[in-house]
Amino acid sequence: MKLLNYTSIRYLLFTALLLLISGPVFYVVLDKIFIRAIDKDLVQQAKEIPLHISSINSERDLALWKALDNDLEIIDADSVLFHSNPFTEKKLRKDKNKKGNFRILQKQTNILGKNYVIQIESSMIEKEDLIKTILFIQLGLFLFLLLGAVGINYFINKNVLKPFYGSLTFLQQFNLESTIEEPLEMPKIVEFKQLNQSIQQLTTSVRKAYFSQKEFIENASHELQTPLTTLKFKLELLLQEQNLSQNQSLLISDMYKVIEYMDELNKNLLLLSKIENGQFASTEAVNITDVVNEVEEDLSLIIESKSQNIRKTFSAENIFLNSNKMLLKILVNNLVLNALQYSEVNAIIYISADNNMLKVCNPGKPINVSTDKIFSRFNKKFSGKGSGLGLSIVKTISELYNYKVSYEYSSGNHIFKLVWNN
Amino acid sequence: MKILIVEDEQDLARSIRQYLQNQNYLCEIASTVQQGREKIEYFDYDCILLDIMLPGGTGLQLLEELKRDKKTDGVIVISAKNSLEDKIYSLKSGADDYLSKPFHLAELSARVESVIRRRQLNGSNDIHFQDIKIDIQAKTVSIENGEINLTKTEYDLLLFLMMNKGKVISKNAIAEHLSGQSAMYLDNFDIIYAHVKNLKKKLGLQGNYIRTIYGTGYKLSE
Repeated sequence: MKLLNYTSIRYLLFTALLLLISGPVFYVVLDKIFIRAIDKDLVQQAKEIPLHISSINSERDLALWKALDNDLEIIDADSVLFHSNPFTEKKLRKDKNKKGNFRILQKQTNILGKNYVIQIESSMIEKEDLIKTILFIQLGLFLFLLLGAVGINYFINKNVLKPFYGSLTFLQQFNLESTIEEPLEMPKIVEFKQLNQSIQQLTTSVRKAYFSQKEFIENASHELQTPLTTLKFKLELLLQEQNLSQNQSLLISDMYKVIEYMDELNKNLLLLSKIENGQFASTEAVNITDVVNEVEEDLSLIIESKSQNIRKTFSAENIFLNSNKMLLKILVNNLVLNALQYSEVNAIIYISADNNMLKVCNPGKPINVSTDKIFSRFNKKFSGKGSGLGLSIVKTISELYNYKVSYEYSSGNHIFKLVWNN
Repeated sequence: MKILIVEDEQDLARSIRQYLQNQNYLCEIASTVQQGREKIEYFDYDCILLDIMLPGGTGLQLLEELKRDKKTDGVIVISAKNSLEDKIYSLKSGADDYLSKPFHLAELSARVESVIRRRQLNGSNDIHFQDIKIDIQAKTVSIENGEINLTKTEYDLLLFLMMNKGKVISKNAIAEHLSGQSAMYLDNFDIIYAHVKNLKKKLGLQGNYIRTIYGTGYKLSE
């Protein structure tokens, strides 16, 4: 749900609820006010009663008074229940044959030595009509206010949220690897301005950190190249010395191994940062069957060294995909090299490709590593073979071209799949 | 044979000189673009090793100047960047070969030799060692009693040894030369041993010139 709709609907609901509650409250209050006014009136009338009574001297006077004063009823005290306070009663109206509410005030009195209850009445029909009308007008007013307020709220919110949506779009489109720093609009509202300033600062510093980290890796591996080369050269010169003892020779050979590892590690780190820097931007239609054949040729000595075999099945002679040839070759090379490294002597590695994917299969014991961890850098479970970066490079290249690379273990086979047509 | 090493890392340059010097090469070192430019102007070299990153410019600048002046010196570009663009650019600009650091000196030596051979238009395309003769053009090998049949790997191996004669070549350098991959991906060097053994057998008596250096590698020597 959009923020604007969320606030508008909430606003509408709560305002409506408030109005719903205020309706009855208003009615009750209005009713009370009217009744109080009527009661006051009744009390006023009651005050005049003793005046009238004083002028009654005979039964005839009493009968005349009864007949003339419509608002008055003189009842025998015994035949009625006395209320000391005014009360409301529904009774037949005198003019129409209809029942209506009356407000009644009773007074006890003694006329000509006899106890009476004098009842003063006031019809409440006018009052009810008035309240009805007032409530009706009020309802209309409420509805108008409600719609107006919701509308105003909607438009204000819409305008207020504009900079917010601007910031949101900025963050959604934020690309860490982009070197172009897009300016963020600075709105008039202080809080949004502060928010945007903070976002701008954050993105700038995040980018700075990202680039300096990348630069560091690249520089570090670059700087390591020369000492590594020097070390390699010196070792090779040392090897030329006459009369090296067997022990010395073995030491040199051990050092070679370590330097080779560092060399490979360094090359792969450099390669990774180059890929991430987008230094292999150019793409072309690359024939995957050619790539596989070239990789097989490149790895022939390694394949031969373990008497392994590669079986290839291609769905067609030429299978093209859009890629950077060098990177695709590195990717396939690393997958196949990985398969060769982690399978036994005499093993057969199956490589198959069709229009959608490349599959590299090698037999082997199951490994206790989660599918996504297998592509992470320097996975310690596999250390000892390779630089620890081979599959990570596979993953990085795949991500660059939106290929999907996956690993699974099924019926004694490690299977790596590279899917490029989703 | 005169070789110019244009390299600002003194240590590297001296190591290269030391390795190549007793291969009948005379090596000179230039450590800046300016020094390299002067030496190239006054002398002719059979092969120039050009580092790309240099104080005062790049090796590629020198390469362009060489070609502009129609110099015929062989050029091997050496780069620490291992970048495809540099490689393509170097070869397009007329470099004979391209090597990225770190490499084996044995590899460099072999590359230098083949560059020099390619440039000697009047010279023969044969490499001799004792009674072993390799015809580089035809890719054939013969010994005292005629031509012998070698596999591609055996041929490459022999050529590599011949181009580094008198030098101890590590198995690592051999593995990398033969496979183009780091030797670390080999579980062991049995495969190198097997190929050397077969090569020795095919070379007959001449095979005895390939000497095994305990634990480290091989050497072709008298």
